[in-house]
Amino acid sequence: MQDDLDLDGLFAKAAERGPLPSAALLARIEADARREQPRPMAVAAPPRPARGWGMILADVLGGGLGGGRGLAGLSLAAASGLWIGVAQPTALSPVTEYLTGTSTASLELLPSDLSLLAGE
Amino acid sequence: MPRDTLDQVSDESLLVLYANGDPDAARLLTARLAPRALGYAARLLSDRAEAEDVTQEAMLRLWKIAPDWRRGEAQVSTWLYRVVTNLCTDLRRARVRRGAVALEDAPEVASGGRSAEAGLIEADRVTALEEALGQLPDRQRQAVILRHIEGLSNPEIGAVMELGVEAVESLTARGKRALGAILAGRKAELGYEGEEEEEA
Repeated sequence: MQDDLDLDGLFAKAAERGPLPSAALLARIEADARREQPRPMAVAAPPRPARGWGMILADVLGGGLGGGRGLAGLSLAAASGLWIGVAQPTALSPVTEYLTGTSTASLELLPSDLSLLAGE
Repeated sequence: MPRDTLDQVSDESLLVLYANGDPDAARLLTARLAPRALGYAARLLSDRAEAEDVTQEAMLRLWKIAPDWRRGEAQVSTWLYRVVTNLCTDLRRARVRRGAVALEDAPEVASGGRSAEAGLIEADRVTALEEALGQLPDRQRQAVILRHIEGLSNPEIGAVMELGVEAVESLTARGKRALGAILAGRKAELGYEGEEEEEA
């Protein structure tokens, strides 16, 4: 009975006759797609206001580097470093001997008495 | 990505591209999937306007799930057929609750004044088939349409209907037999008997 009806042939013809979406339907679907489409994540740099020397100095004095006390400490450290670099090294030898427990030996490369060399 | 390259891309990859912001992916997916969703919905509902609404809603759900789509778990088309099936089932239940005319009670195909002796044209037979499909129980109708008109495999139909392959085979076999019985009662009207006499 089903062979007489050729159901498979009818199915194939039904598949060919399927309704096609109208342009209006496609437009509605694509509009939905655009509305729902995730946007690429944009990483925005944080805003950086223009800063002049005046603002930097105000920061330092106002607490950016510890306020007035911090600034005084910084100045003292800078002055100490300058003194250590400029002062005579000999002035440090007693300190070095005290800390290391050694004494400084001196080596005379050229004897002051040159009479032996002269064969006298 | 160039359009001609996108044509070669799978539905799933297109969905990922869409989720990543590709502007052409949605257009291609719509062109591929909307006709299938509409055809299936129209055959389940026998109502073009409702089928269009279902198609738009199913596609909208696809756009919404795109960012969370888990690759390899399901085919996009299978997922869409499942959504269309569920939306159509809800609509048909709502019709019954409203007391609307059930498809099973739909008027039989009109012959358009043409005589049975002259035979009906091919389009009338296809129309008769679609009306007969409307008389099948929901699950049989879904299985038969997916198998014989949409061309899905039994495992794919199982994924759509959340059934085992054996259950799918049983549904399609029973549906096809029922269709044959319905159409057999209209053989004369559809011009089959005249053809048999000519062949004899």
